[in-house]
Formats: sequence, structure tokens, C-alpha cells
Amino acid sequence: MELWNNLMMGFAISLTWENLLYCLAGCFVGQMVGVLPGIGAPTAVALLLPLTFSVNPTSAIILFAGIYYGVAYGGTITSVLINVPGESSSVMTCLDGYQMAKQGRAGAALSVAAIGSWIAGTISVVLLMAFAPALAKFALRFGPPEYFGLAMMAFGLLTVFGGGDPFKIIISTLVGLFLAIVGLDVVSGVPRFSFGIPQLLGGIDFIVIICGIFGLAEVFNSLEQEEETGLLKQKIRLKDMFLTWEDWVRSRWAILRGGVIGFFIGLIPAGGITTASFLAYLAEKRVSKHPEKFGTGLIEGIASPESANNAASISGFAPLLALGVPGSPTTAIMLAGFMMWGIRPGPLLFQNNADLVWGLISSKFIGNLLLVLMNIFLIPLFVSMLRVPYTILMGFIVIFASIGAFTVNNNLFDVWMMLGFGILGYIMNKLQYPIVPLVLALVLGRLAENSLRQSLMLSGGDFSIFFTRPITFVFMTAAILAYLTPVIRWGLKKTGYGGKGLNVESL
Amino acid sequence: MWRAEFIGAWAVTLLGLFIIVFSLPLQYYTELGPGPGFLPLLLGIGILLGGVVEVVKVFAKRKSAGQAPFLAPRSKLGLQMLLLIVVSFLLLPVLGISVGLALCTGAAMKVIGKHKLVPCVLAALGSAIFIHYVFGQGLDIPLTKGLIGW
Repeated sequence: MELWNNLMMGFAISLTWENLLYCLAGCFVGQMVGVLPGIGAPTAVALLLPLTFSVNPTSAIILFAGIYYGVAYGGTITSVLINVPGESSSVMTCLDGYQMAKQGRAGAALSVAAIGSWIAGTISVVLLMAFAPALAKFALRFGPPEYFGLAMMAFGLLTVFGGGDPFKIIISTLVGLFLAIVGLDVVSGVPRFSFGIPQLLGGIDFIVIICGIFGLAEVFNSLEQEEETGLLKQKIRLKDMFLTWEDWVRSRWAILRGGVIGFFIGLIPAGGITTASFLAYLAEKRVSKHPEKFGTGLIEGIASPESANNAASISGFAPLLALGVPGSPTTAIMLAGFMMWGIRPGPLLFQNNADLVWGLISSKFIGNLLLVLMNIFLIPLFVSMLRVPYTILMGFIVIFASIGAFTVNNNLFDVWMMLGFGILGYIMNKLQYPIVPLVLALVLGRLAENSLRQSLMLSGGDFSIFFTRPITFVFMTAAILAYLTPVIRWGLKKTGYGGKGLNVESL
Repeated sequence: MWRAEFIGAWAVTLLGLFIIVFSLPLQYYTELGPGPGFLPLLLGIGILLGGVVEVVKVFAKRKSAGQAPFLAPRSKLGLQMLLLIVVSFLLLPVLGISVGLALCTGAAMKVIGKHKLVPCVLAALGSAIFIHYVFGQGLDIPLTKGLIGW
């Protein structure tokens, strides 16, 4: 009953004209971002975040949530029509989506992705409603050691799910932690690594870093890539968007399985929507009676990963809202937004800001519905956006990144610093140092340091505090196992048990 | 590419060393517990070790590395863009944010996108108006003004 009352309160908030408009704008921008090359959900949220200083936090978070799950819908269009994923979470959709498009069934492919995403998204919201408050209640037991353990686990899991060189992931995490501690030490008031520069005493603002590392770096990286011109010249009419009975029958279980897998992967800090879509595709292939046909244009091969990525993009809010720990780069940026608006996500958020939490959760029902309608009726508009040259788009990214950095303290020093981080982001990408661990560490850095120091103060400097409390023990063990994953993988490979890594070719 | 990776690995190592050196004057431990230098020192050591591992790994694969150029052919476009951004940022105090960034947009379209002059000028004009009215007036951001008062 309490759940129902909370949901009704949420709808009363999300159904106001103002919030409906923010939800619509978020979904539209998200869908657009998913389609446009060289710009992803973290970039879009990072560039728009500084512009919401004066916006009501509930409306702003509804806008950003719309962008986040809207991107998951939009990325499908490029996967199906040009065989290039608009977002990394749509990689798996390319395999069967493009084949379906070549067979003249692009409309059905886009439709099943949209409808599957909607069904899975709705399932995920219902599960989130039940799960997030319970998680928040559980987290009320957390003290500094538990929070430190949780942060360590989140960093550790990146080495499992992050992909790429584990040493580079660890280095990237450590650099993120270092950037987080620049400025005055909150306990002693001693300046650290500010070198007498007054603008650095307050620390390097998160917004300055993300505008550079996501916004500007994307411009440099995208300029090096050839523009895709392989758009299928296929006219998609409204009647092509409707699924046949056979399509429904074949995709129903794939949607449900994808939704459930996506929900649970999204709950894991650092799990992410890309991992969810990979695992859902794998699972679907495994349960299929004809796995050899995957990759030839099977509708299940689209329904499952698309449902999973949308479900994960929604359940990813559970650790953010209930624990204050983001599960992905986009939710990490949103966490910075919460801090900017003076709200601290975590267990008390459900008590102190119930209107925001339930307004956000209920807006996801509305957003998902808006997106499925947009995907059926506005596809030609989004397809036409694929023809926008990147050289026009990049100018606007530079404008948003520069003004975003400027708004933090209204000075040009931050704009120059943003340029520096843009160059850093570009170099990291070139040398294959992942950016996500840096961002996650940057956001959680202060929390991790404060909890570490508070824990050691409590224990009189005894590190065993991290292994004698049950919850902390679980988190720390998970973190250690995660960090040891590369060694375990290497050992398994040496003994002949190692399989291929999770990559598209191996599927 | 091998050379770039090697330089990158050394840069990480030097960053670790830099952090260690500058965290040494900070108090490592106080009577209350860990001091302000506690985490920086640990981070410095971690980054230094990570950098050393990377240097060794990159060095080990030097023979198998191909002859890929230090800069990719299309990196020239990125450098041109960087130059345009630096010039426009230098001009921001004189031209103001609206005009400076709008010029950057127009110039990038012309130099990198090779668009015709008219669309570039129109895009620059549109950008200046957009920045001035949306960011400056609509969102009330106190944008730096230039000589023409925008």
C-alpha cells in the first residue's frame, strides 16, 4: 500500500506540465544523441548539466533520466540502418538488425527494439520500485567502513566488466582518485596539489573535467574517424513498423529474458548497459533451438539485447539513489548533478527527498511510453539526422563544453582547464586508457577518502576493520576477487580452461 | 604507435613520481588517524608501480610492434581543431564568449568541414545569437562580454 501511495505521489509530480515537458525533452534529446555520431549519453548529460543550476532538481533529473534511457532507444537506429552502433550498448543489435534491414525488414527491426525496450523498461521500473527502497533500508546500516568497501568494490568490478587492459583500468582509477583529492583537505584544511593557484583551492570541479574529457575529447576523437556513408536507402513507412503475429511469438520470451537480465546487471556497480546487452544476446543464443541462425537477421537477436540495455539503464538508478554509488559514467555525472543541487543520494534520499525519487521513478513509465511512440511515428525524422555532417555538430559541442565549464565559477580559467582535460581525454583514448574508471573514481574519490580516514580513526589505525564487519567483508572480498580476475583468467588460460573473452567475434 | 605508448607509459610513471614528491611534505599520519598526505602517497606509489609495469610491457612488445605512424593521417584534423579552439579561447576576453565561440564554430566548418563560405557565416551568426540569447539572456549566465558588448 505504501508503495502504491508513493507511486501515486510520484505521478502527481511527474504529470505536471513542467515535468512532462522536461521528460519529453529528455527523451527527444536522448533519442537524438543515440542517433548522432560522436556524442554519447555521458557527453550529453555532461554538457547539459551546468545549464541546470537554476532548474528544479526533480525536473532536471527527469530530463537527464530521459536522455539516459532515450539514448538506449536511439542507438538502435544506426545499428539497424548503417550497421554502426550509435551507442556501445547497441553493438549486439548490429548483428541481426542490419541483416533484417538488408532483407527489407528495417521497420520491424526498429519496432521490436522499441516495443521490447518499452516492455523491459516497464518491468525494470516495477522491479526498481520494489528493490530500491529495500536497498535503501539495508544501506541505513552502512558506516564509513561499509562505504569504503562499497567504493572499492565498484572500482574493482570495473576490472571485470570494463574490458581492456586491467593495469590501464587500475591506473585510470588511481588518476581519477588523485584528481578528486586536489584542493583543500576537508579534515585538516591543508591545501593539496594546488601550488598556490587560488582557483585550485576548492578542487578541480567535476563539471570542468567531464566537459573536457567527454565533450571536447569526443570532438578530437571523432574527427579522426571516417564519416559513415553506408545508410541503407530504404523508405520506412508506418505500416512497415507493425510486427506480424509470428514476430510477436518469436520475440516475447526474448524480451522478458532480456528485461530480467538487464535489470540485474544494471544493479551491479559498473555493470553497465553494454554488458547487459552482451549477456542477454549470449543467453538468447544459448536457449535458442537454432543458435546457428543468430547473426542472419533473427528478430530475437534484436529483441533480447535491446530489452536488456533499456532495463539496465533503468535499474542502474537503484545503486545511485539508494547507495549514492553510480553504476555507469552517465549516472556518475548525475551524481555530480545531485551534489551540485545540494542533494546527497543515499539511503536517506528516500525519506528526505521522496518527491524527487518517486517523481523520477514514475516519470520512467511516462518516458518509456513517449519513446515507444517516438520510435514508431518519428523514425523518418531521426533517420534524416543521420545525414547531419559531424563538422557542423562539433562546433556546438565546443560551445556547450566551453560554456558548461565557464558556468562553474564564471571565469575563463575553468575554460582553459576544460581544454586541458579534453586533450587528456583524447590521449587516454588513443593510448587505450579507459575513461570510465577515471570518472567513477573522480566522483567517488572524496567519499572513498573520507570513509577510509574515518574508518581508520574509528579503529585506531587497524586495517582489520575492513574484514571484521560482515557487510564490509563481503564488499572487500568482492573487490579483491575482482582485482584478481586478470590473474585468475591468466591461470585458467595456462591450464587450458580459459575461454575466449567477451567480444563480438566470439559470439 | 609503439613510441606513443612508450611515452604514455613513461608519463604515467613520472606522474606517480610527481605525486609522491609533492605528497611527502604533507603529514602522513596524525594522532587522530591518517593525515592529508596518507592517500596521495598511496596513490602516487600505485600510479608509479602501474607506470613501471606499463613501461616494461610496452618495451617487451617493441619488436612485434608494427610501423604505424606516431600520428594517424587524420590526426591533422584534430590538431587543426585544437589550434582553432586555442586561438578562439585566446580571443575570448577581446571578442566575448558569444562572438568568440561563434567564430570558432564557423571557422571549424570552413577549415575542417570544407563547407562553402555562406553556410559557415550563417552558422557563426546563428551561434552568436543562440549563445547570447539562450545562455546569456535565457539562462542568465554572466558571459564574458567583448568589445561589441556581446
